[in-house]
Amino acid sequence: MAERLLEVKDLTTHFFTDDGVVRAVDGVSFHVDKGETLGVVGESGCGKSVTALSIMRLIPQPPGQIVRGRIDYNGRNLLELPPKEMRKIRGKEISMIFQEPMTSLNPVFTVGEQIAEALRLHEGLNRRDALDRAIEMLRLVHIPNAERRVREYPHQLSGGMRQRVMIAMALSCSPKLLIADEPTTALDVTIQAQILELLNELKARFGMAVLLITHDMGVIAETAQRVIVMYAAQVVEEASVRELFKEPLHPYTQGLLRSIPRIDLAATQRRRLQTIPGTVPTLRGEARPGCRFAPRCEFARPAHFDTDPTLKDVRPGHKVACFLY
Amino acid sequence: MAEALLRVRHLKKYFPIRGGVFSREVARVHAVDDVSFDIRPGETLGLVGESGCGKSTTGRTILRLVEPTAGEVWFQERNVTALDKRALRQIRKEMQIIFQDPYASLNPRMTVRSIIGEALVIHKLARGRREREERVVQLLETVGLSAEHLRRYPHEFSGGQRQRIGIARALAVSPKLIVADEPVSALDVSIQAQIINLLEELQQKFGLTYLFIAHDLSVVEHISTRVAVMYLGKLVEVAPAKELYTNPKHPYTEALLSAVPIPDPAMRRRRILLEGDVPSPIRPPSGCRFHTRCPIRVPSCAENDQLLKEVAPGHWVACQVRA
Ligand SMILES: Nc1ncnc2c1ncn2[C@@H]1O[C@H](COP(=O)(O)OP(=O)(O)OP(=O)(O)O)[C@@H](O)[C@H]1O
Ligand SMILES: Nc1ncnc2c1ncn2[C@@H]1O[C@H](COP(=O)(O)OP(=O)(O)OP(=O)(O)O)[C@@H](O)[C@H]1O
Ligand SMILES: [Mg+2]
Ligand SMILES: [Mg+2]
Repeated sequence: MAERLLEVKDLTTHFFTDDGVVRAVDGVSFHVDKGETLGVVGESGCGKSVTALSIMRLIPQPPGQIVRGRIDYNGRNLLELPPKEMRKIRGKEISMIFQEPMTSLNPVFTVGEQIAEALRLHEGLNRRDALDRAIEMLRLVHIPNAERRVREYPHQLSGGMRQRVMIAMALSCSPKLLIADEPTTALDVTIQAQILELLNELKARFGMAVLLITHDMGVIAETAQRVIVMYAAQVVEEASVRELFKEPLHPYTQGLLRSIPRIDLAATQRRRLQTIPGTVPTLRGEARPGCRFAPRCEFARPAHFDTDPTLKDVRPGHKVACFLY
Repeated sequence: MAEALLRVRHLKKYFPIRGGVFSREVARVHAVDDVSFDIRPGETLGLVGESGCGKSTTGRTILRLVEPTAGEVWFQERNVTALDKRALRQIRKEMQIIFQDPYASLNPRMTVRSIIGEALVIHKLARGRREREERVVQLLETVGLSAEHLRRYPHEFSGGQRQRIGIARALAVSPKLIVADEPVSALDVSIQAQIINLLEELQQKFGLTYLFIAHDLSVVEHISTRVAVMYLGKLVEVAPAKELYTNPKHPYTEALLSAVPIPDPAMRRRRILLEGDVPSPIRPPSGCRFHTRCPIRVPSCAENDQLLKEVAPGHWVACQVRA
């Protein structure tokens, strides 16, 4: 039996803006086991990043607020920890890499100083040792000429190299959980392939768990063991990667998988892409009852607009929030 | 075989980089460097390659939204590169462009009615208000919107709807050729599929020809008749879509294709990982521009410029090792 590392229960995060409440994350539950990669997929604005930031307790407050739920990490509810305790967890136990590395690297410090800072804070290393470790970390993420690069500033690096630096920083204190929020979305495919390979290599080496956020089903298929699918601030399906791709249950997941052009099928068949009609609902304003996907769902019945479907097990390890099951 | 609708010959665009007190040219970005290709009527030529390789510059230079440094662009019998301002405006009726960012490419202070109607006015394509209004509504319906959207502003629409407005605007002048510069890259997958299907329907209906620019190889494969692969300002391979994807010849094309994650966990492929990053287009490598990262390079690759050679009917490759 796999060991639980992180358990998120009924997480609900809202933003109280001048134009009304944004229900960015609405009753999200899932778990991450030790050493596994859990993929999180969903379209733009569905609440993936806010979920990640809530776990890190980095939601800007105000306007944001975690209004409900708990986040158990190794048996402790992170939402109840005093800020000082949380700082010890962040970076040391759980660390995060962001979609756009430039926004999270400090432009006025060298790459080495930034990696070393975390090491001094969490591991109590002195300046010299921290810098040596920083060079070691850069080598680990395959940055050539690490001794020279460690003294450079973020703007002197290419996008792919910056993302490697981010990974080096995130891994410098050997976290047990790495949250990677679209770590390759801003990169070209050949660089993306390098970074995903690197993440897999480091994961095998350190045995850490990864929460991998992406909107790319291909990235999920190639790197995760389990996956949750989010739609409009909620989890609509959870399954092993193998099962999700073979037998998606939620009409949204089914539609999503059918709407992706595939180069591997290209050679044998050329078909019209299937589409999901309509658009994603807004998360701003009054909470409305009913299944959020119902307005776009071909199987929707009047009753589906009245009550919320709950996320329930339909098979071992396969959950879906849909009235059809 | 049909006559080409568009012929691009030895097209070059170097952007000057200025510096110093006199703002002298200190270097040049070799954005597009001797690119030649044809597009036949009714086909879709896909143009793929990584960020900064010169795809958008190629598309813009063809329409002369950017002035070429050298080379020629022929649209049917007319040399686009030699046209004066007036003639250029005329030819823009036949060649249109749609952009990646539906947010930035629509004037936020104009209603949908005037965004789409503007081209009709400029090119005198409708007599009077009534006729113009009818045509705008017709265009909206063609792209899956309706008359109720006439008085709305761009910010009231979703990304996919804005892209539809951009397409309706391009269609207003009944063009023959549309340069589509990453038209679906900013959209969510489920919306992407809607727009791709729309572009395919419009092509059928109006006999349109597309230059379809994208970095997403799956999307390009899906929509294109033929595909051209670009690396650091040069074309390295051109082939019919199916041929390119099943039988890539250039090592860069191979690496690019193998890097695309496949949404099927049961599929396991051999992945070719390239070393390092794309070099700077300011000082591109000598010889074959890909040689610094190429897994099959031989010493002379650093010296010999590579030209496209036909290895099979319609399949062109610029690699001295493979062709
Ligand atoms: N600081 C904020 N103030 C107000 N609303 C916010 C804030 N941050 C996020 N939101 C809203 O919360 C919702 C969820 O956003 P989130 O960033 O989690 O989406 P996402 O799934 O990560 O999307 P993407 O794929 O585009 O990164 C969105 O509707 C967004 O507009
Ligand atoms: N106006 C300009 N001035 C100077 N350099 C430019 C200009 N426009 C583009 N470039 C440079 O020319 C090169 C090619 O750019 P281009 O936008 O054509 O690439 P692209 O293939 O469309 O990339 P992307 O996939 O990122 O859109 C890049 O190095 C870019 O920085
Ligand atoms: Mg996000
Ligand atoms: Mg571009």
